[in-house]
Amino acid sequence: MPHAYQAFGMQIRSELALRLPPASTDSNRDWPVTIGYARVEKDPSLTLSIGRIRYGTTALGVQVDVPWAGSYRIIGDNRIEVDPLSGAAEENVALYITGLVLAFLLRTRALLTLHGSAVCGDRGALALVGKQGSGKSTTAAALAGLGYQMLCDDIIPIAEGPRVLPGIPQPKLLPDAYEKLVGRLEEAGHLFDGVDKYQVNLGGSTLAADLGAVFILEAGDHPEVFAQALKGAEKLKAVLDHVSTFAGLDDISTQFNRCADRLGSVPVFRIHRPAERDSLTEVVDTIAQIDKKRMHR
Amino acid sequence: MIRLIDTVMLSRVDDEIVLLDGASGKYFGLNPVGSRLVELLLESPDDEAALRRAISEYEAPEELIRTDFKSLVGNLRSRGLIHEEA
Repeated sequence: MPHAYQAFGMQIRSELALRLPPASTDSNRDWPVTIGYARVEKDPSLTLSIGRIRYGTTALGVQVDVPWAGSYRIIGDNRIEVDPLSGAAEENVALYITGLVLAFLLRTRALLTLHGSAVCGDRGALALVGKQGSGKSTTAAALAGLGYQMLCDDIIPIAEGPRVLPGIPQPKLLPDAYEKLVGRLEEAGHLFDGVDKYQVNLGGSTLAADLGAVFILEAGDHPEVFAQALKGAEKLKAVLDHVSTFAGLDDISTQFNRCADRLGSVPVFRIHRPAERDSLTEVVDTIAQIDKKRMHR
Repeated sequence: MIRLIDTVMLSRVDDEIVLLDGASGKYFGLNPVGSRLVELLLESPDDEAALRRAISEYEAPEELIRTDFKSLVGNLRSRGLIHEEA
């Protein structure tokens, strides 16, 4: 296995090059995972789907068929087999391992997985969740500019504690966010993810951190940015909307109990921002102020 | 004895009880007083025993507690969240 990485508490050895943090000598060795090429027959009987991507359980494990990249099989909790589509670029095949297949593997451990980005400050991790286009990665990258360390992008695995496991600490930014926060697009071709974003290394953390707060980013018809603390059922329901689940494989009762168990004592805020104008600086200031007040509580 | 319907899940978040009806996907949040009344309801052998414990715990007028308690139980029943178990 030519490549060694660490992410999500796994120590990954892979035949394919992946956009993951390289393994270090202090990598967690409790969860070794291997990723290699193998024959994985496309399975027409898979009935579950995310768009045109099909998935489901077979006799050999969980299988994921991506029509334009290849077929992937997850065996137990420590092996991923990859059968690329003929002619598919390795980078494109690898993109679905880091962005999707590893999320299936996370299901094998009792983790609560949020869809969003997380950063780590002096008093623990801040999770940023929200709908597609709500600015999760951009806000995380902007917080990194204030001294926070990137912890996860796209997938936030939360273990008991609650502790946020380090994931992929490289936010994927749309071109306008990249130019605003990082630099010139002309010099960033090597960071392009092959779809529509630029994956940026802003110096992330590879250590798990206590979860300090969750922020739900929401654009709406508001003139100003403001924060709303959520409690009880409203809080639980708001967070559950952003739990990463695979229909047909995950049951609602497990997610409900896990979410209540992990986030019951964690403050959750909805950050409202105007949809009609750029308010990134205000959003970041609002989150940083809330985190600062938490520190002095 | 009063029990939650099999598809209903209960969790405590921020001193509030949250019920999820797994069949409909609907959430129900109870304030701290409602949460305590539900706890008493599920711990006691019947409605009356739960009500007596509630009256002994709260300093409010008995009639007010009785009205609130019956209203809560009626609400939980009409929403299909609880049932009587022999």
